Amino acid sequence: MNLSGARRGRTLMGGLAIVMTAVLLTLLARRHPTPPKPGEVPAYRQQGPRTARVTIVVYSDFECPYCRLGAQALGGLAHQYPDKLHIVFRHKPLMNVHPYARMAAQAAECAGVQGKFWEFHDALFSHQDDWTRPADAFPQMINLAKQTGLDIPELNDCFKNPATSALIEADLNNANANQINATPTFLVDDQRCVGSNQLLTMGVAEIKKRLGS
Amino acid sequence: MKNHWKPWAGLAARLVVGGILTATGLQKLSAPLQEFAALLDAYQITPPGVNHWLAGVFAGTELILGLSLLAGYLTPVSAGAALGLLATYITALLSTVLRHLPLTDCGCYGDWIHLTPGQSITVDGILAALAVLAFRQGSRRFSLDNWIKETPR
Repeated sequence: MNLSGARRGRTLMGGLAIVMTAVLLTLLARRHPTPPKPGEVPAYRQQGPRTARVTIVVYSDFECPYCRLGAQALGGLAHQYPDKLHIVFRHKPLMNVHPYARMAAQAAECAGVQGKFWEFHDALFSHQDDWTRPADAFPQMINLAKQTGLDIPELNDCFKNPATSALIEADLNNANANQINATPTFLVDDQRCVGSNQLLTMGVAEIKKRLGS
Repeated sequence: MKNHWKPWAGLAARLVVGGILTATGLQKLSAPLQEFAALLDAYQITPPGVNHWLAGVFAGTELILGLSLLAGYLTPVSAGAALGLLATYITALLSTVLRHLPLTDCGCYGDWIHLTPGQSITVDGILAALAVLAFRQGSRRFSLDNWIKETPR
């Protein structure tokens, strides 16, 4: 074998070794996706008939501006496909970047206990700029609760109840099990969509496929 | 003894850039690709329809270039390509700053954005400078390139 042939052979071998290492590392690092686990979600966090042909599970954070856009997009779809979507809300507060997200999630749970989860959900998103300011996050949230018609002493009791916190933990565990690292993430049946753009493109395509339209 | 340190600096630069690109590429490939695609959506440069595909291409390219640099394989080509990739990221980040897009360390898209665009530009700029050093001096120590060039016995 001449010199250039030997070098070409070694170059090819080196390239092959790099590609094989990349494939092997990717296979080892990739957490094997499992079908999303539905888990138990309180009835007040569900919308639409449970027998609907399409279920959308949304993992959201009340302090995240992209989740506000996601909620608007999801609300539009619920309006567009009345009675055909079963929507399930799951908490995924990103506590490392959003200091009030967990508090908002717990308050929303307590609103749910009083039968006003979705009203408070909408209020939190539409007034997001007000209650996410450091100086007056909690008072602003209480104001919102009053405006939504919630019983404040009852809300306070519920807020301190460890069972409320446990519901948020259960959602965080579920998100972890389903490899939900980003918010908002929508599981349109098996189709994962991150952000409102993907919901309105890939998600809508999946809904149309499921509904046969 | 003149410039004796240069090959070692080249090796260090090659290992730093290669190590970081390998780690970031692997991180992107190990998570659902929709998450990196959502970050590309937020940049508003490419159409949402192609971002899922682009996410895979960018992540795969990062990993291959990172491993090539770590091994010192075709170092000038790998370092040049890494420089191109970093220049692409810097340009994209600068465009978000100029267009006032809300990417400021929201973290809303998960683990991908923990630096502000300004911090990311700085980090990418340092990596780009190291890629230039790797391009010029990176293949002289502990590299596959040396083995490829070796005269067979």
